Amino acid sequence: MNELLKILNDLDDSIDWEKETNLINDRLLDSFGVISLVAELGETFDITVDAAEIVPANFNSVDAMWQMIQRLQER
Amino acid sequence: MHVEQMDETIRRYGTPTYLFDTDIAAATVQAFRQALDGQADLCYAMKANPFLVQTMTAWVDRIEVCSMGEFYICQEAGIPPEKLLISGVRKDKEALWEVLDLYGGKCGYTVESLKQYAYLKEWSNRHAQKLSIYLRLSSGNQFGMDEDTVAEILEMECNSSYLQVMGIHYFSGTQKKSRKKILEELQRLDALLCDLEQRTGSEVPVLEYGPGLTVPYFEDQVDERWDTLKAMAQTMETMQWKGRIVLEMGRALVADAGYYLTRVKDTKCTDGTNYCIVDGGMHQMHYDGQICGIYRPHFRIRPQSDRGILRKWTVCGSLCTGNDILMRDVELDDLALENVFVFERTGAYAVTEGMALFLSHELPGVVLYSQKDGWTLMRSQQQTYEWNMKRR
Repeated sequence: MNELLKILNDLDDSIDWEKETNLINDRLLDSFGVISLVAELGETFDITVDAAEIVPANFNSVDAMWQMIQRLQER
Repeated sequence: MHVEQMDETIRRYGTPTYLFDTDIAAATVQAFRQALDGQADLCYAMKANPFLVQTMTAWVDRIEVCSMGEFYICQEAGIPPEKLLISGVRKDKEALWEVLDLYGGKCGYTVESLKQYAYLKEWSNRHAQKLSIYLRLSSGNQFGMDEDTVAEILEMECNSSYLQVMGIHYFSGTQKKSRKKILEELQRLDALLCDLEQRTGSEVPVLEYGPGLTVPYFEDQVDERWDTLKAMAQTMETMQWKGRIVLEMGRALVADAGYYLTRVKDTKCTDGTNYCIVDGGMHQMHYDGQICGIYRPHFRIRPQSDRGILRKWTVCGSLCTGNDILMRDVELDDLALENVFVFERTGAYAVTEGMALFLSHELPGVVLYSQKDGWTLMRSQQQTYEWNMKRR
């Protein structure tokens, strides 16, 4: 989880990542951010985030992202 | 646009097709002028939609041309050179001189580098003809020149016989996230223009400024264009620099005028997810900022069912890539084969931003519509495979 937060803060440290629950819907995290993030997450956690995973439900909050990461790691 | 016209378009021209409503484009320009209250003239950046350049020429004060292809489109459309601003980060000498030999000083020309400046200067000296030039100021990227270079050129040309610096050209980016950024830019440009005039002792008559207004493409986004224009008008009114402002816009002017029509050709249910495959896709349509259908665009379906058989669908294009998702988890009433999706707000960039040659699919047709003139076919569906093979 800390590794995830570090990646997010490197992306944009002006966002209170742990508090936000509507990152995608509120456009705090835009498509450029998602693309950068997907690349970083893939490398750091050794997962493949394919197009089917790129949905608001997986990126609207840090918890949602963490759940996705854990699920993909099990594959 | 009324559903009857939409249905008639589908009937006449099939899918995949772009429909551009020129009445909407004209109405948007009128509304922009009203909101601006005479504080600025308008320039249409034709890169947003070249199919609308003839329509827009009647309503705006000039057209920004950024490639030889765009130039030829304008030539074919008979657009008077007096309405052209020859712009672009790359202006090859031969190409630039081709334009100059044809239209000379009737067009305006932007300068994005010392080389571009040299090409214009050489031509104007050789032909003893006056040219109006606009110096593009950099916003910190590959476009334009820095302030010192701009000032140097202004100083060099203030006593020139042939090159007249008509103005400064500035554009820092599209779809700006905040209105504040636009207003701050205007204020900084105000200070800069006053400073340049003072330093060089010569007037800078025009500011060609692209605000980069945001078009709300997706559901739950608010349209702030009108309030932003009014705020800009207020800022422009109080500027110290007293020259003429030309607002250079493309997306904001024509996005609303476009509809992308694409038909359902296959449906399936896989592991509980309903998929439909349309005859278009991301090779033909794009919304700025969209990725894998993460955001929901505005759309309609023709014909619209009211049977109340609601299911969630993922709408995919024709491409063999998992990324070609136009919409996800969208609740639709009784979706059936041959239903046509009408994607709205696709009048700007959408028609040219897709990966058109991938998989050698056809290009969509393009049709204009107005109440007065009805339908005008601009381009029927075109094959692209010939460009992906050894040409005959």
